[in-house]
Amino acid sequence: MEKIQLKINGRLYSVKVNPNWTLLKVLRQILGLTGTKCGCATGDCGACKVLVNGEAVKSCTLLARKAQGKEIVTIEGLSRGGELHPVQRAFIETGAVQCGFCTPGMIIAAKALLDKNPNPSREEICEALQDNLCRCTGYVKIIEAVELAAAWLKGGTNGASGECATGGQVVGKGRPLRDAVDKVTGRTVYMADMRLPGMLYGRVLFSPVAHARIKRIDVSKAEALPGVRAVVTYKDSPRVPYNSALRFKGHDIPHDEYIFDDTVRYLGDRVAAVAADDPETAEKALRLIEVEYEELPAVFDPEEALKPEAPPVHEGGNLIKKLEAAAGDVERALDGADYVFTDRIKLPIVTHVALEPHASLAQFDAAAGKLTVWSANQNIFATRIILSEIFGLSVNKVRVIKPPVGGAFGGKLEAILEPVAALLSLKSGKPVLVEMKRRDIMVSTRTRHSAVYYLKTGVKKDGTIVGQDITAYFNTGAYASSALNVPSAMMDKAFRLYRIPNLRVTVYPVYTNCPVAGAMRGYGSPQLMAAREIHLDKVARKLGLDPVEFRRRNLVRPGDINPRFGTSLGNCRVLDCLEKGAERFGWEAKSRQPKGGRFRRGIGVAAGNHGNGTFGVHVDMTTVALKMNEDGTLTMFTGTQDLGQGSTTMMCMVVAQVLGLSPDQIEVVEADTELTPWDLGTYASRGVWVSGNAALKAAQSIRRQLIEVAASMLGVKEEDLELGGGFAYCRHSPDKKVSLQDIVVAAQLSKEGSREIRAYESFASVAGPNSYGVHFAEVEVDTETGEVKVLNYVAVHDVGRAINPLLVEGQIEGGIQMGLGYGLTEELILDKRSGKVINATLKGYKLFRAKDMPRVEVLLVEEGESPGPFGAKSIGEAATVPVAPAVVNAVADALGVEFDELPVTPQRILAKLRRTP
Amino acid sequence: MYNIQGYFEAETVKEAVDLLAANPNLVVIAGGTDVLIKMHHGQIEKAELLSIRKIKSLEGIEKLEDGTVTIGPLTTFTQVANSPVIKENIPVLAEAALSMGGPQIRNVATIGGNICNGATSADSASTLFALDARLKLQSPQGERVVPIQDFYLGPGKVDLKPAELLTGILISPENYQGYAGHYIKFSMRKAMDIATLGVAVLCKLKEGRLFEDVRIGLGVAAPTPIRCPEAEAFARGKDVSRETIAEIGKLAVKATRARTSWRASKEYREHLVEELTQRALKAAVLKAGGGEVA
Ligand SMILES: Cc1cc2nc3c(=O)[nH]c(=O)nc-3n(C[C@H](O)[C@H](O)[C@H](O)COP(=O)(O)OP(=O)(O)OC[C@H]3O[C@@H](n4cnc5c(N)ncnc54)[C@H](O)[C@@H]3O)c2cc1C
Ligand code: FES
Ligand code: FES
Repeated sequence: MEKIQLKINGRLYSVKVNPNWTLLKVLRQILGLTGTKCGCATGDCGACKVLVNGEAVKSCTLLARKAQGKEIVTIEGLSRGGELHPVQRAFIETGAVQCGFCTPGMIIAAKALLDKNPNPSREEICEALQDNLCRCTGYVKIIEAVELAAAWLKGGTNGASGECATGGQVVGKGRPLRDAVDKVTGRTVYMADMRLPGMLYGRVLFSPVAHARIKRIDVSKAEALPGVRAVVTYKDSPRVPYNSALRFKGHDIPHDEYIFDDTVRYLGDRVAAVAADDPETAEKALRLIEVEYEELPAVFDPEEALKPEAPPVHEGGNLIKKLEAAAGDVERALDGADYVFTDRIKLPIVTHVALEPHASLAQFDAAAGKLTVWSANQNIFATRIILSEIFGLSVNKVRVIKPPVGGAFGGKLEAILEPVAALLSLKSGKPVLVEMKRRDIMVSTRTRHSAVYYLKTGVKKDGTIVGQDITAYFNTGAYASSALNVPSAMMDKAFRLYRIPNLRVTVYPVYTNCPVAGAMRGYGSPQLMAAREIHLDKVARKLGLDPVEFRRRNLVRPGDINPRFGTSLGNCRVLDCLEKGAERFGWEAKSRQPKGGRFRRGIGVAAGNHGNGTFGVHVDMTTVALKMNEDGTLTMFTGTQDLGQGSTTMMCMVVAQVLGLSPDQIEVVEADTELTPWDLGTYASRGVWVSGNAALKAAQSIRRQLIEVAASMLGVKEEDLELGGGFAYCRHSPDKKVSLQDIVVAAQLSKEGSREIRAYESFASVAGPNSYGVHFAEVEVDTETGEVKVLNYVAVHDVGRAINPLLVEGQIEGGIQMGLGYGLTEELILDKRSGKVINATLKGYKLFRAKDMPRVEVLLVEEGESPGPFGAKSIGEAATVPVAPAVVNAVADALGVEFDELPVTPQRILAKLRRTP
Repeated sequence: MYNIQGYFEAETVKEAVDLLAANPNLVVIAGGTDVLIKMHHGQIEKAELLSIRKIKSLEGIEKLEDGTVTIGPLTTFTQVANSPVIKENIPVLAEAALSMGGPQIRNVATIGGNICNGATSADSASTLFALDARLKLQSPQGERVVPIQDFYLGPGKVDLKPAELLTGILISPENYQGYAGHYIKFSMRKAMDIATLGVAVLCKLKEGRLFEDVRIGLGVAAPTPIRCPEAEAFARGKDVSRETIAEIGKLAVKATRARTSWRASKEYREHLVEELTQRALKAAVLKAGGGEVA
């Protein structure tokens, strides 16, 4: 240890450090300046940027001792005396803040740029942000924010705007996240920023082999290391199998996973864990655990895994359960078709890359017999059930709390670290924070199911689809997790996009020794649409039909009947999306562009749909509680988990609209199994559709109560009263009014029946229509290297009604970033022999960066969907569904070749080009 | 970030090599951009660090009287890119330096660290190969000078003897005077990427129409950076034409020992070698005062 002095945010700190500690570690761990984030610790994400002598520097690549004598400014130092810096304000105003995890680093990078270059071009902004990753926003609004800040700074304003306090139209007006100020100032306390007294640090040991029995495991050396407080292996793990994807008590899905088992089933499986006084000791202890593996044969390909000679990953074989959904008579339809086209399309393993690493903190209070777990988690109530079952605790002795989450996208839906943290806390008697490194997150959490699709489509000469037969092999990896739910959800979507009277979808979900597949944004829809939309484009071309025209002929119309269930598809406005988008994109003009030369341009279109909740599959219910306060403000209690997408902001807007308040007047208590009412979980795009409706229902109940009390106070009839501007007033004589605060106090103090104005309302979904989108992409391909540049992008979505257009756009823009990766660059690559993921770093796994993004235009179709709150329906997942096929179809169009494997990398493009002269 | 016993800071080369000789556990750290990541991944276990950052004699760029350009290993990529000596005499090296990392990494990362790290993707390496750079190495036993081609042994492996320090990078005038060069870094995504292929081409023309000499340095085309002897031999004396250049591209592939990896398949990399060698050579010809070769 040595003593060094650091000047941070104008203050001199004297700290004792190890000479090999990075500035990031010292800022976060020693000085508690946790506004600076760690997304990788390997120089690849930019979340840790701070200003060093005015330059934006990744603090994980700088030794603390080398920062001596320099002026360091962190995000905490940007806003002085409560006054936000214009860059911070611009990030809020433009909606550039979603989960907020990238935000401090982005703001620092933007500040460094603007200090040097007050007039940056778009290119210069992208350049300055080139090593800052964001997974939520698609960078669109971040770039806008920097432009806006530049304009403000030039104009000498700080962008401060007076906001109206109450009333008015709320729904339909764009509004930043309710916690955006915390996020731009670095005040938000994410999981890894939390500290408890006496807290230990947990680390997990992952398997170096793909399939093996543990012959011997010796932890004695690790336990003997000073500072180590607990080591756990399968010998300590309760022999209670679970499924990390459980959604509710009694959910019938395969339970095949243990916290630790004596068998490892993929390279990256959990083997052991350590809790120690500090992270370094925990990591050192991991390396002291001696494990002897008896290796077993392994299988990595889902089709291989179904062969009789394939090694079983679990007892009972590798097929989990054949799933089938059908309508009409597929064989007859294909027999009677003018043409039948077939395809085999292969889709890669991709992963979420939420910028915030996975982390969980568990505290077991032995005296009270109570387990409390804080976790970056999308499904606290299900996690509570899983923990209560594993540890044999009654449900009220398990409490799960979700702090602010730095992006999830399905990757935090399943209980992965929570049971490990709990076990370590149980054994050590101390609170334990378990964190994962980026490399391990990419392998040992969850991925999107890779799949192989076989498609067969029968068409008439005029392009009408008469029948379709789809078979898919879904690689679920080493544990079942969502092996049944994801394909089922996917199959359901197949019947809701095109008018295909005879349609069958068959799925084989298969165990392999690959990383575990689970929920990921779109939950099967991106796979289906990637395969089918690429296939249908080939069909259209073979028929000589324009891809837009082909879709125009076949897409569903509002009120169409789902051929599988005979129920209405609702107000499905996908055709509107197609027409609106084709026009804005200039489809016709662009499709007449000549092709030739080294750089070739092409255009592509794809449609897609995704659900609204789980209606028809299983329970879909949420409860919201509201309570009026004596000054007319409101407190909302919701179990819904906001992950940075803004669901609680949306709920506040719904409530504010009904009660004539400003959303700012609503405080939210969120996602704590002990304090908030039950919720099914933040997944299945159920936020607006179910939680929004629950908020609406609760707000309507409050409204009725307010009006009832006001009517008796004013001596008027209830039906003559209206709420607005913080008052209940008479519709006909607005002067006759009483303030909400007077109503609340009057109710409280009432002599005849004192009462609280409050609501506790459950909303169970009553329908499950889909949300739709049609996307258009224009690309330019370098035929010499295979490089693709995405030039223009138009996305049109049928969202029923946008409650918060700013956040809806943000969801779509972020979805595009993720989908472009699925189409062109992202893939976890497994070594075929060992099963090792060979590119499990942010250097090796290619995400779209600011510079790579096209110009994006978002258009909305707002025709209302009943019974969505104010006609609104989902967007979060739908946004990412049509992207990959749209861009792949554009590349195919540019080159006149066909693709059958994603991602369409330069190398795959060139391979195609050279086969087709 | 592991428990380390100590951190040493040398102020002279002698002090540094003596410390290295006395303590075999010491790991040299220059800019630290590679070392810190290895530490994060637990690849350096009982590391004690020896910082050489304070050794003034290892910094800077100079042109000696005989025309030799010397680059101190501690020179950062930003310094290489901005150096008047480099920009005037060996602009292709400045190009290569500018293609490396992002601005912040370039401010810290040193050219010596880039070489000693031994990566075939090192952005300085293919150009230094083409320039026939020589490396000055110092140990307590004395000094030796080796061609950079001999220094790279395998992936991540370089010929650093125990207690040896890289103290200088030398480029002789006959290797840059009269040459024009071009560097292409090809990577899958534009921003901030490690090269999928690095191609450095130098050429010297006779009367603007004949190739007097062509040198091709490739990164990521084999486990170490390489040169392309067959292609270079073919080029000598040939006229500057599309056909010659096409043939040079083809022959360059022969030198490669590309392997299929997650970055690219063998076939794709070979295709890139062929294409990009031609493209780089055409650009170099233009800079050397030859005409445009379509
Ligand atoms: C985010 C990021 C992006 C990157 N992008 C690129 C890129 O685009 N292109 C690229 O080529 N590299 C890239 N790198 C890798 C790295 O930055 C370079 O290799 C850099 O040049 C290393 O220099 P350094 O001074 O930081 O080396 P260090 O990390 O200090 O040292 C590297 C190795 O060399 C040894 N060493 C250093 N100096 C000497 C010496 N004088 N004598 C003997 N041994 C010595 C060290 O012991 C160590 O083994 C990137 C790294 C990061 C973190
Ligand atoms: S944490 Fe430093 S760049 Fe990711
Ligand atoms: S807002 Fe950028 S990563 Fe979430």
